Amino acid sequence: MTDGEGRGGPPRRIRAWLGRRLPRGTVGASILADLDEEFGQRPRGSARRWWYRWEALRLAFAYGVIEPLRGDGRRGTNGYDGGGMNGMERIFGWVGRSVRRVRRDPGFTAVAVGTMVLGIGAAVSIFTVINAVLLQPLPYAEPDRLVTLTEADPAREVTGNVSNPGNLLDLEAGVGAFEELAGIVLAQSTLVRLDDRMNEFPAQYVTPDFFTLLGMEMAVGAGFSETASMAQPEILLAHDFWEQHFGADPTVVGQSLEVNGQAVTISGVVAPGYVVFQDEAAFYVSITMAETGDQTSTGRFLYGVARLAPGVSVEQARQEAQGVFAGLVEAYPDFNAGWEIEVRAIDDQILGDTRQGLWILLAAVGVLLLIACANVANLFLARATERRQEMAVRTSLGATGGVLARQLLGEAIVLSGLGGLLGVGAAWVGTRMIAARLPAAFALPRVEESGVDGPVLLFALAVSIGTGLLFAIVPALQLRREDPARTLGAEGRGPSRGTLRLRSGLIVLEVALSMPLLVGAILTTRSFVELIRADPGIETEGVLTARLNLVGRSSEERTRFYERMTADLQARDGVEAAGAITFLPLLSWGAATSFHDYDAPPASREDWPVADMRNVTGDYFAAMGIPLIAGRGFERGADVQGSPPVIVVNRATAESLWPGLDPIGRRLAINWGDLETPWVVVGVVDDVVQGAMDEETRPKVYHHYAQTAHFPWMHVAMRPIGAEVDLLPILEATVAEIDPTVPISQVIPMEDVVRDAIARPRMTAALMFVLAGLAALLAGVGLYGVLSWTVARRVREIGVRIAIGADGRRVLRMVLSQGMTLVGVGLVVGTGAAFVVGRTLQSLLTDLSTTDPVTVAAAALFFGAIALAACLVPAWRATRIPPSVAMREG
Amino acid sequence: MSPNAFLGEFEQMVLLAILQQSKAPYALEVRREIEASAGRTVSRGAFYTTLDRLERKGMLEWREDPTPPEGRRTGPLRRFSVTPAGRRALAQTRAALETLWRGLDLEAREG
Repeated sequence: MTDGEGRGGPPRRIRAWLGRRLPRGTVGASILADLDEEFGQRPRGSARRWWYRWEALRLAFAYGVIEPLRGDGRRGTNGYDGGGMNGMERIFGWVGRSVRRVRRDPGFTAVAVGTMVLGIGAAVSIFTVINAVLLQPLPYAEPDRLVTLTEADPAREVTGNVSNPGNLLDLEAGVGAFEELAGIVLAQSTLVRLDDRMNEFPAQYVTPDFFTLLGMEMAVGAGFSETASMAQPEILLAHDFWEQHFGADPTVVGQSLEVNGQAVTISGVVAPGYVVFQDEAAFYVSITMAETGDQTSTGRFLYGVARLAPGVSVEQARQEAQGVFAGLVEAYPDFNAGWEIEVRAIDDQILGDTRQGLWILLAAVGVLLLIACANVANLFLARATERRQEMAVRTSLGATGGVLARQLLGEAIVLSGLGGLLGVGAAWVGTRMIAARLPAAFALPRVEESGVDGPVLLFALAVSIGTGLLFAIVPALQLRREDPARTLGAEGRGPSRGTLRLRSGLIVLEVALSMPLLVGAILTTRSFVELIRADPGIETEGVLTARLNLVGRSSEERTRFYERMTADLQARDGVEAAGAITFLPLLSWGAATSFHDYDAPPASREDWPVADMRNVTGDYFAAMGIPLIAGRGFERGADVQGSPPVIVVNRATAESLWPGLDPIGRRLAINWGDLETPWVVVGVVDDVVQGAMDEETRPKVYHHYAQTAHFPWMHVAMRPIGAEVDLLPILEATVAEIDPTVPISQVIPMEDVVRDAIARPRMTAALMFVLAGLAALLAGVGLYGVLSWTVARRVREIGVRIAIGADGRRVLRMVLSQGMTLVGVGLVVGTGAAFVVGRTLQSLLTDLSTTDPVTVAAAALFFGAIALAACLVPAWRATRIPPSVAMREG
Repeated sequence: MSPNAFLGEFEQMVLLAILQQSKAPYALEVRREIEASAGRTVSRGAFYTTLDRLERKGMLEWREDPTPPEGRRTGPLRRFSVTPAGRRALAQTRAALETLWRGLDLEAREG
């Protein structure tokens, strides 16, 4: 304890502080003495010192806040007490007077309310989204007991991978912590006949107990029957799909629908508001794990979802599952070697990285709110100083401190109420703006449910009223200590020392708080710019892509269709090149498998590298503008079933396997069906991104569709000859000519595919930049305010200096150095904070050192510029003060 | 002199507690008296601000006691007494209340 007076006395500093808040003279002194006496009667020790501090706080509160609000009931000083009026009349009168006074000063009102609207609007918007996404529970029964099961291969840095049905069945049987376990296959494309036309829709394949496990209810129907399976398929419709395509007709349950050429019974409609794994589905098709295969017959393709037994923690379940899985690795070494099981709370799986991004935004917006508060405080303080004379005059005319304090409080409440109201309005608009952009960019599962509701409104109200009251009380407390005689004299023109210190401190705080925001904004923007600059390896301009699906056709039929289609397309006017690929870059990760040099296999299977597997047809490389580096591309009619198996690899494959050597003619063994076939490299193309713009380039193997028609769908890519060519009608006509029943879906220009791929970092960067910009603006305004005010206070001094010959530059320098000193201190403190923030931002950034000195310097420079601008105007004004005016003013 | 002659509950308690003491009491004695007879703790802030208010209304006055009691080491000591205006206000308040109470028997009805 530093504030003690010897060992036994009351805390000295708080006693002095209290003394300044009590009435002057004997009254205050005797109250202090009473408190001392009681302090002396309490048992010695730290308890009584805390007691003293608490009592002192309460006394100060009573004298500083309660009493002024209450008034003394004395009539006639200036009529404000309203003598015989009852309570409600008094309150209405008080509010009315406050509103009138606020309206008398529109400039101040606009700046104060504007600042609050910015701060509250931004804070409430972000808080609303976060409230909806992070704080509301998922729409499942007891979501705390739900976990997801995925597999990981740490050696190859694979996590969150889908699992194998055999592995999941063995886990269900072996792990006691799982009460139930269900499986789901995401995003399966299906062809559905609606109104006698074929349409492609995304569907999920789920085990029959999936919905009961989640506790999801059916809106219509009873759900899957006991016998639902792949062999006896049933489907459940998603609520949106049911409304859009069946007009919400409840009688569809029990009818059948043609899905992938097979008649399937509709067993129910899932209740609305259901999303799993951020994945959209039109309907859910039944499968059972047993009939899809096991570790010896099939691969990994489903996610497991389990409900934990009551009282079991996620960690306990994880450990038990890992133990069982270790046994599965031993039992099926060929299939499971190197793999591990991951058990995660369902929240983590669904929200994923989004969660951290949102928390960072919330922190940023909290900082902005703090800056806004500091600014409002500054404004109130400045105004209180401007009005010292007014207050002093009124005090000497008989107004009591209570009356004046009530007046200040009334104005503060009116202002902050206005700010809060408009802020919530701004938040309402802001939330909709964010929500409208978020689903694509952030893929937030629950954002459509977010609205400005009860808790959010309460939050906004608390923030605005809290800010207003807090910052009205400070000047009100200061007012009580003023001596009207001194204030009315010459020295009363300027602010008191304490006020100046407080306001300078607030500026330092604002600058320090803005720095991390600015650094964060610059970092996210820079990493975003890197993403834009990242070369996807494709020439996207004018290229149109679309998806075609021939599910249910034989591979010969499919090959014939795709070859003829791409050839026909290429023959059309306006089409320079056309081709197709199974997984379009940036649209999905696609299939991948392990491979090795056929003629030099690695000793251990674990050392096999992994490559993306792509099937292409037509002139795909030309259509996408992917340059051929060596050898040749595929040849229609030559590279077919029965002819030597050939592949084209990307540069990364060639460089990793045969650095510095000629790759053409070399052979690969590929873990894709059989390892016996040697695939001969006939060509090498340049690298292309796959899943994301910022991923590391990895090996990619292209097969000719005519040799390996693995997948029924393809994405066609068409490059036009001129910019004005409308490619879609050409595609539609061509497809209709060959087979009018083939549906065309996902028609997207390749430029949009690339743009969507960077939508999320762009959103983060944009939001951060807006927040940081607002912060810098507010800090700049605050700085401007303080400086013009100190200049105004020194008008006389500056005038005298100029009168006795100081030149303008010197005065300019003096004011500038005062302002820049404040900014400098703020920048030093802020830089420290920025380094900490940078580390937190790591997860959002691409290949950038998070404590990058260039970024920090840029932020400091940016801030310096704003600060300089804010200082210059008042400084320049100071040099223009004619001595005559200065003297009069003084 | 005193247009607001009607006293609040706590104001009455303070004035009555002063009158209860044989000799003009000081603040701590008044507070203790209220706490003892009313059986409730009294907020220090409310207590002192009420004393100030009653003084401003002219219902009580104080003088400084140059000989502080034992255990009092610091500061001045104020001894309070109720002014004639204060006594009048108490009497008026009581009379007004008694008028209002006339004929009422709340306890019996509460049962």
